Amino acid sequence: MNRFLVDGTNLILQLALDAAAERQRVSAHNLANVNTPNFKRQEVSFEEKLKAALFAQPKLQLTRTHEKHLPRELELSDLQHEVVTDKSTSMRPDDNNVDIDREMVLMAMNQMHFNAVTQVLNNRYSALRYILQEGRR
Amino acid sequence: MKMFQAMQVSASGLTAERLRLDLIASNIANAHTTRTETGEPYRRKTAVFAAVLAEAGQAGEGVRVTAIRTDPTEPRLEYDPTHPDANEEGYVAYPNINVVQEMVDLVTAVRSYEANVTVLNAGKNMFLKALEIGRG
Amino acid sequence: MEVRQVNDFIPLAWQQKEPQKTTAVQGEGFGEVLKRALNEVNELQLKSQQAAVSLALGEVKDVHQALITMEQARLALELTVQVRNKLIDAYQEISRMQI
Repeated sequence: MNRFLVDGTNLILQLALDAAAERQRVSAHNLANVNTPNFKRQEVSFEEKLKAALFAQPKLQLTRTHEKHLPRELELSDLQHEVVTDKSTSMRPDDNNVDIDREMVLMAMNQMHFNAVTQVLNNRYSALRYILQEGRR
Repeated sequence: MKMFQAMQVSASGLTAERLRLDLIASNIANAHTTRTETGEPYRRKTAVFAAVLAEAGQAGEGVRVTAIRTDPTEPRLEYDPTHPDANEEGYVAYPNINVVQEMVDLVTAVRSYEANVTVLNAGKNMFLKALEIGRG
Repeated sequence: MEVRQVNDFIPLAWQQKEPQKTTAVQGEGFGEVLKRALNEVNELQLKSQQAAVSLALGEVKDVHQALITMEQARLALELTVQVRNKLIDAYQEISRMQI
């Protein structure tokens, strides 16, 4: 039953929503620390990691780079987002690399992305619901 | 994300104008600084903007600050032998900063900043409107 | 789970040099027409799925394009369901006929 409701596409959409929610928290953290000396901003890594995990192994099996490595299937942790620290240097004298304008724009972008993915997920569930209802005849 | 390219362009505009504002603030604050760490009077600073271009036929990718120029013109001399920074002839070198000019630049920077915010909001509204496709 | 990488997607109609018609071809049975129509609907569903994944991964340049693709797929699906319902109604009516 679960495989029917949570197919591959829906899983990716859900993971994207998780990443977007985490991005919001990270943005809040960065903005709260906009004046903290020596603070380095954080960001969420998700899209590149997911694409690398999915498209590199079309058969969902890792190729062995070394004979002693064990092959394994993809795990959820390969696909999920992670929070990383942006270590780039800044021109500010307090060594804080938060750019308030960029952070605000990133937050707005993230909100819109969240809206879009939610909308898409809604559309997919609504299509399923439609089929279930109409199929009664 | 590619779909938010317009917003990133606006963000680059906001960052550039904010930098310009910081420089103007520094210029005005130091309008009468006769001695900096180098021993010289303060010199006016301006930012040099450059457009970030994309491939031919595509919209550009925003603006960036390529350099912060220091004004090379000679400082203004005033006769005041009692001043601690006076030279042998009794003249004090003051920065070449015209506060009125700086205020005009300030207003320009603020208006540009606001314009970038307006563009950003317009882009956001378009995106949210697009999400209504198929809804309802 | 099969996931395909997509850079761009264009409405189905613009991609084909000759628009595929789901009207009957000479000598073609109704079954063939139906099969072709279902294939087209399936194609649209796959495109819609690719669009959804591309949107979630930030690969899409214009969000409206993705949403339009999904809407087209949805409408094609609804049309198919309605056609299926009509077919069932027709079948039931025929089976009710007294010989």
